[in-house]
Amino acid sequence: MSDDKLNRMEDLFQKVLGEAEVTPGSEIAGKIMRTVGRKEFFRFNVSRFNIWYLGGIAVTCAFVGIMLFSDPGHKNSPEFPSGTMVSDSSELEKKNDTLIIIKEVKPVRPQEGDNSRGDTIDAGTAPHGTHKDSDIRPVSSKGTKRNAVSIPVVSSKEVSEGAYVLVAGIKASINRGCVPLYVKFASTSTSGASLEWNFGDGGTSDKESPEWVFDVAGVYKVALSAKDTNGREAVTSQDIVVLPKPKAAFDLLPENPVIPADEITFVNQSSGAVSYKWYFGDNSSSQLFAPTHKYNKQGKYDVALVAVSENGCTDSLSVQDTFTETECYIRFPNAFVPNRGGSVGGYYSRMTDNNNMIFHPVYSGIVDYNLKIYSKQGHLVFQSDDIYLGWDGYYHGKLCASGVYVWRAEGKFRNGESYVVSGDMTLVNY
Amino acid sequence: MMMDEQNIISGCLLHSRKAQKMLWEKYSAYLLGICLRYATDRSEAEDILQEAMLKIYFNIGDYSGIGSFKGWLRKVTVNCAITHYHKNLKHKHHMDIDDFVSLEIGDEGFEDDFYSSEELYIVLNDLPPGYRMVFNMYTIEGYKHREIAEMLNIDVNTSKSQYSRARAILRKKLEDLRKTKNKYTCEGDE
Repeated sequence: MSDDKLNRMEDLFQKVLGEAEVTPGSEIAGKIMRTVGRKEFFRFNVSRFNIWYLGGIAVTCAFVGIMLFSDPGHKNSPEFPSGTMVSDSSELEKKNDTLIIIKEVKPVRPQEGDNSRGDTIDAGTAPHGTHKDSDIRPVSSKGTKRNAVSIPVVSSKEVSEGAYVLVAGIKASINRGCVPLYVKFASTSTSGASLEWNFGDGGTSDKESPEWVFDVAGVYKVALSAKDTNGREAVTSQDIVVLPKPKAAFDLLPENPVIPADEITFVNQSSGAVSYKWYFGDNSSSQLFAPTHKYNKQGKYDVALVAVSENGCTDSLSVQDTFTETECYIRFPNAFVPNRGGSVGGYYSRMTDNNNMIFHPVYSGIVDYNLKIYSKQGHLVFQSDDIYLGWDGYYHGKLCASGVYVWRAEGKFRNGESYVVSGDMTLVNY
Repeated sequence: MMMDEQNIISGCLLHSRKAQKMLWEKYSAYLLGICLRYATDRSEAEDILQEAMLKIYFNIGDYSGIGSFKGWLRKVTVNCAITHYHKNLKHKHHMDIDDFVSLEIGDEGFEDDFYSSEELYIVLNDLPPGYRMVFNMYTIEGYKHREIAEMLNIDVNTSKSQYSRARAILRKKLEDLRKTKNKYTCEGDE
């Protein structure tokens, strides 16, 4: 035991164990390498095969598959019937996360003695249009005659015989109609499945038989998804066509007609319609676009117009007591300014006399009329029995002087009442 | 040799399987030697080694290239051992009563070729885990008590007292070992 071999304990450990090597067993090496390999597999790395490559290949395969199968499928089957079937092949769900892609239309023979299935598919939803025989075969030779024809859409996977089949089916009370369209839906899906309706206009429902009103015209794709407790899903959809409605509107000419005196023209202001039917309220009717009509006697008439669009949608407008008795009145102004350049005659139009050059009344419902105008000295300067003839301010070809004149009018209103009105007015001559 | 190390590092950076294998062949014995010091038994050491290897393979980019690669490997491994120690702390937090009995301490020196590395490993492995951690880190890795306290999440004074207790226990065990060894050798000689 020489002195230089005597060490502190710490030095002993450091010397012996500091760089000590212990060869690990081969099984631990394998274990570590396997763990490393597993971790590497989930790590992105271009230089070795890993999950990213696997995923890329899977995505590419799926994409190519979809491209290959969906294209001819679209061309060959222009319309899908509403019954959609999904086969009970569990690999389908396991292998593809994506929804079942409907690729082919395949007939399914209804099971013998199983009426429930036959009933589930509505004959009315069978596809119209022509299909190639290779795509769709009738269910059976007799099947086409039966009411419950089932031509369901089946996924590309085969429906194994006797397999439990999840079906989503829509039965609509009406699939084409005018706005607002009230539709009663019913599900013909496999019972027990949880349903999810989407009405295509933002509305949804989970009822077995929802009712829905489409209040805007358009084509709506009503989709129904049925899910069973195993997480499988069948989807189907049906188009509901909501047709636009015309708008019925009309006007009268003249605006305030006198009945029975005036012949009335009904001005048609409807839109979106192609044919019309008028009801004049006196048991007569017309199908002209803008008819004229003369009533035999005064009375209350309800005029109605029904406008029909080219797809059969209708709108109507009914005006009750169309020709209301207008108020009878006559009123005179208190001043006027005659034309200084000469007599204008005195006939006026209510529409054009904006210069106030003719003294005349505003009135309604006058049948008898007489107007007399006197000067302050008591001279009769004008008189008229014609409601359309007013005074232009001239007397025997000479313009009368400015000043106050007195007038008096008498006559009869349409309703039989007579009137006598009088007053003064100022002739302004400057 | 240098070139070899460089190749391994750059290969591991690209996750080349060959380079990973080479790294394993070259350094696994050394790293297991470290792990064994920190473990109670061989299987625990292998667990630590596995964690350390995964860290090394996937974080090799963290090696800056400054300082020795071996030193970096050692550091990662020791850190793994510390993590492992923390993880299993609650399962091993018991000690034999006689570990606490204060021991007679002789101050004799030790001949370094008297004890085999296996024997020293066994002595170390018998230490309570906390003592073993502090002793290893202080004596062999050369950490300061302050650093050890930080890494093990203990008080500096705990580190110091654990260290001195570890020393005392080790000394006694080595003495015992020497006695038995001498006895057998004497018997064998005569």
